[in-house]
Amino acid sequence: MSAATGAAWMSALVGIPLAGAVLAFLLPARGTPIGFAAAAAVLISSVGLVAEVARHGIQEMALGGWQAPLGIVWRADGLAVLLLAMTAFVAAAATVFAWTHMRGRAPELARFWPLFLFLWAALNIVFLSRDVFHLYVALELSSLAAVAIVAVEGGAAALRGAMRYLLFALFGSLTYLLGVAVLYAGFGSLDFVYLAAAVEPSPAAGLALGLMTAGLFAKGALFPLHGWLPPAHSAAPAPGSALLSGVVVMSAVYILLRLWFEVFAAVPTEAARQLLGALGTLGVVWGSILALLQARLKLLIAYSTVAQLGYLLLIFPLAAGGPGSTEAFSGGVYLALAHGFAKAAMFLAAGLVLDALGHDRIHDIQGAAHHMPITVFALAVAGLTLMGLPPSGGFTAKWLMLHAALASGQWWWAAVLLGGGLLAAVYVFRILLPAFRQPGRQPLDFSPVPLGAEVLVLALAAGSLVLGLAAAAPLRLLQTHTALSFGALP
Amino acid sequence: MSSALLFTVCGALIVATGLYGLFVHRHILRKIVAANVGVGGVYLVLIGGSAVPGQTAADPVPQALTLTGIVIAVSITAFALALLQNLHARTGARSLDGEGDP
Repeated sequence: MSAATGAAWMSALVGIPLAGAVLAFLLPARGTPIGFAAAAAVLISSVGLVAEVARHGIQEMALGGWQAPLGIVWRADGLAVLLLAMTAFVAAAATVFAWTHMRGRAPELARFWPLFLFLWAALNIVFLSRDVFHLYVALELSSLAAVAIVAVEGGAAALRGAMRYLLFALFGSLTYLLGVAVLYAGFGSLDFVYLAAAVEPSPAAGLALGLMTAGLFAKGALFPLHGWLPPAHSAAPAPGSALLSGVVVMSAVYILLRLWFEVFAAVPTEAARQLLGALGTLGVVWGSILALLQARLKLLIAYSTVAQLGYLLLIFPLAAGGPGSTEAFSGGVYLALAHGFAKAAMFLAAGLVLDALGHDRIHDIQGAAHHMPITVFALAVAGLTLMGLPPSGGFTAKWLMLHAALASGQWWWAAVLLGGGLLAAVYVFRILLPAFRQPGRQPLDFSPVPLGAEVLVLALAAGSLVLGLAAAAPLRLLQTHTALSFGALP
Repeated sequence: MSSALLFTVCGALIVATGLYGLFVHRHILRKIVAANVGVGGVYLVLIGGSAVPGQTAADPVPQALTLTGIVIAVSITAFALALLQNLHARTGARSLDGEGDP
């Protein structure tokens, strides 16, 4: 009964964090054990679902037994389970980290757990759902929880960052929902499979895709709607930032990929695909340059997210149906996975630096390599993925995308991939150089940080290396169990 | 002009008004109100756009979607207002300075 097993894992992936969130809200003093129990159960369920899909192929589940088009269908394919598993590892690490990092601040921690678990549940729904309106509901749940996590520490910068995030999210919801309305008016369905069969190139389809894409650009902080990300992600508590920057923005890009390659495969013109690639390029350049100019570690890391999100937009021109489409798509998804691990590790490392020094001014972290060598090493390992150097997962991803760029004769995207890597190298070394510099006359005041937290951060950073060293299995899972059509080209 | 088409066109105009307000106003409360105006227009497009000409019975799906949408909009508005109240109490700010924000 493989179908029943798959459905049980899927229900657990959403039901457990939702139930945990409600429990943690009702029993604020018990938040930490509830968070740990939920994290362990979701981690096990996601590994179980990965194994199920690897063995038996795509798993489906109709919510409440109501089949599409009337009901809502959840479908776990290779793409979905890889992102679910990445989310589970990152969120589980953030769970343990939250306990060590926020232990002394009970009221904040009590507010943090329900929001964190709601966010996790919403992300899992986004990865499983194949219904445009159900995705809207999941996106709203994820935005609400994410904005609240940004505001959880309650400082002026946090409230400002959260407010800006919420206003962008409002714009995103409005345009996405209008896109859904146009789609339903034009094609009479909300389910991906029914829509994919009904949608054909027409003004209504183009309008719906354009509106939904604009909305997802705002939710995913894609250039030019990225302005909210750095203040918000740098103001959240470190474990929150890890999930926000590693997964939440990726979930919007994930919906974008599903829409462009699954529902509207035949609709986008070549010009539209090139436009997305061009916006991605601007994101890479703009994000990297601003990362270079930041004085604070968390802001630098947040701007690097804007840059890394830009690469994902190169999937759209590179996987347009010509040669190299599969490589481009796999490479882009792989970049999202490796970036999830690396960026979460960097934000948690920044949290440790903040704990140790009481500030995160990059200029003043001399001696960090001496006092907290494991944390600085984790930053360096995670930096490998951002630069795209071997043996990291970022290298595997960019290698695949480079191959696709050359195979399809679009050399200009290869230039973006290589140039972006150079810029990333500069901003990663901007962190490492002061960290390795000897402290001046007066020894700096480093408070001790828990060794367990340091090792946890290093393990997360090592996750992005493992993705580079053992790329065959995830890529096979992605390519054999994901049904996507790459454009309408012959 | 059929009434369904009238609803759709008015809905589109209301959405445009809402988006305009969201981008142009500086006061955050005005932005929140503008977003609410805009989302009302989306419901009109949803209901009017899916009406089939010549058929008297209405399609229940867009109505269910609108109902869900209203619940979500109410929760987000409540949250946005609470956040604004906190921000105002803490910093006295009524707007976020910086150009180009929605």
